[in-house]
Amino acid sequence: MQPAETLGINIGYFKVHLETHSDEVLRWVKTLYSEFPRTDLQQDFHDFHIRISPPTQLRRFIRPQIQFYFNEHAPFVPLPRSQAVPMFEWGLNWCIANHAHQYLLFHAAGLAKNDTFVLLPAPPGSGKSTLTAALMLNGWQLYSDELVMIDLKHNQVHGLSRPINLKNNSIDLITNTFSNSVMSSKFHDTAKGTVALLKPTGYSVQNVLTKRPVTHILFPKFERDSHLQSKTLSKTDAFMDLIANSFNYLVLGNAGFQCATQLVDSAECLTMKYSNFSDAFRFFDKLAS
Amino acid sequence: MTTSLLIQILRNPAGVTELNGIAWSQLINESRTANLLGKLFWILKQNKLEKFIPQYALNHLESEFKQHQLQKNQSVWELSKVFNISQKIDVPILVLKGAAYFYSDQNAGEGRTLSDIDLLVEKKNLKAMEAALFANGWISKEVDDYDEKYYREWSHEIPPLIHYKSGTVIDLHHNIFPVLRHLNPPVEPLFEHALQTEKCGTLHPHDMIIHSATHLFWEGEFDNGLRDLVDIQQLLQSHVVDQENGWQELATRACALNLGQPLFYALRYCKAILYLPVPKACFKLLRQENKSAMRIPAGYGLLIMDWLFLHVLKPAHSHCASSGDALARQLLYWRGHLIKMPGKVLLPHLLKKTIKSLRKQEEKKLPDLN
Repeated sequence: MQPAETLGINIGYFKVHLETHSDEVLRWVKTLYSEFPRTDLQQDFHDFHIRISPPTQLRRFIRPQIQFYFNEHAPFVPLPRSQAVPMFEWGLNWCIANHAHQYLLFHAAGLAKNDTFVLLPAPPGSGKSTLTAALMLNGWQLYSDELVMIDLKHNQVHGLSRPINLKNNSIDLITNTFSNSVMSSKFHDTAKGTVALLKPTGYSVQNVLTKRPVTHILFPKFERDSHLQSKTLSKTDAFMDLIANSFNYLVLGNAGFQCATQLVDSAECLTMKYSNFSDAFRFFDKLAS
Repeated sequence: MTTSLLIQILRNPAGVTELNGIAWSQLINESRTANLLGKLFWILKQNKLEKFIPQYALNHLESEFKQHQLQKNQSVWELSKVFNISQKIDVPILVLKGAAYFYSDQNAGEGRTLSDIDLLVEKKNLKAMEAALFANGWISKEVDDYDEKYYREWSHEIPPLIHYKSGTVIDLHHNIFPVLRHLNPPVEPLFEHALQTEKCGTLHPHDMIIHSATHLFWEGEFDNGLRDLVDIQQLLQSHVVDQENGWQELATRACALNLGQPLFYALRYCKAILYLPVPKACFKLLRQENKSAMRIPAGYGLLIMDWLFLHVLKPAHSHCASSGDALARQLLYWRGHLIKMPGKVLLPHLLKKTIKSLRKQEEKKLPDLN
């Protein structure tokens, strides 16, 4: 085992203190987060102290494993060592979703162009990450692929332009369609199948501190061979579907209710069915014009 | 011994005005490990220090406090259901520990989190209460025959009950300490002394302190040791420190319940660790009045206990780790078992437990072979 190395990364609204023994984690984190500034390890406050290391049990000699430690405690079971890089991403999502209640947090993607901000809440499997990746590589600013943070004071979105987690067929689809994409290697046999991480565009990272109000709430659904269809969604349905995708709506109580109602009231709420990128791009660019 | 920054701030909350970024990281991390993050926020607010908390730290303190408030509301709501059930079958019931602090709005409950709701009934009412809870959706977690027997015959509680819908866990006790060693106090005086409001019963504040001390200093597990000590400190501040004869009444009560020894430790470490001013006369009285089989150590004996307890009553974080921590933890774990069970019961019990855990590991391995 190589000695541990420590990195401090400022991802905009959080500072992450990462210590790891895994050279694979170091290499990919340095690549995927290269546009983010480093923190001062001797001076700065860090929000999340994360360590990615082999678990302490003796069985690491039998089958190499990797463990995620948050503040020296392991909240998950260990994974095979080959999944160390996605484990860092998932673990960091977990840290934010459980400890950042200054925000109303949604399991959603968020993208912006001109004065338009589209919030895309959607359950896994709706093609959200693939669409997000494609839009980002087509000039939209990535706010988040997994976790949209709405600040409770001003009802604005705070950016979290971290790498996009792509799964299975989407990986090759994005790599082959967009020559400007920077992708990590593939990590096989994870709980989500094969995954790879797409580096956020420089534009997204450089503008991570630009806060925005939500102008559109859009529930996308990928459906093979379908024509692009979009319908207006009633405010009540949008509200219920939106809070169903929140991580901490219950924790926030009244503040969460106020924030969610205001979001729905001030945004246009839509559903969208699509089957190909070019239709989707046209549709989104119309929203932003 | 390396000092914990959290303990320094608990002694002197105004110390936060001096902290830089990296020190705030350390304070937040230690507090999270010790399950005292919400409590720390409440203490800083009480001391009007909120404006000295930088935004980056405030985010974490407020986040934790919001989770605490949700849990408090949920627990109090669950308790109101439990009290309705107990009233219907006319069984007096008392809430213990964290849930009691929530229910009776104690300072000790502010910012605190808990994992289950602890309830106390008299043994003669245990069956009726268990059946009534069962009828209302609290079902027993699956335990094997041996654990079932262990709980029912040797312990002071029945296996945990979990609500099928809300997931709330209730620990139903018929005593405040395992019954095997006969060190446990009779339960009737606790009920006689209890505070009954319209629906709810909690222990008398003195008994709350004594119970919390017994739990902390006799059970042998210290994952939440510092948090429990802070509970005791806050109960003392609310109900004893400024009361005329407060210390004397508390000490006399503990000795009458044969629980003078754990109270002695609780006061000793509230003083040593949290700098709570406990009068010398109170320690003296405890020594005089303690007639229990559990003697209060003096001289070298007390030095050894200090070494042990000072190693474990701190956050289990590498910032404040020192050599001897693991040994102290292990020795106190064994001590806890020895207090709970006489040797002739303890040895077969541990043997049985070891065999069971080995067998479980074996079972877990099996799928890997296919």
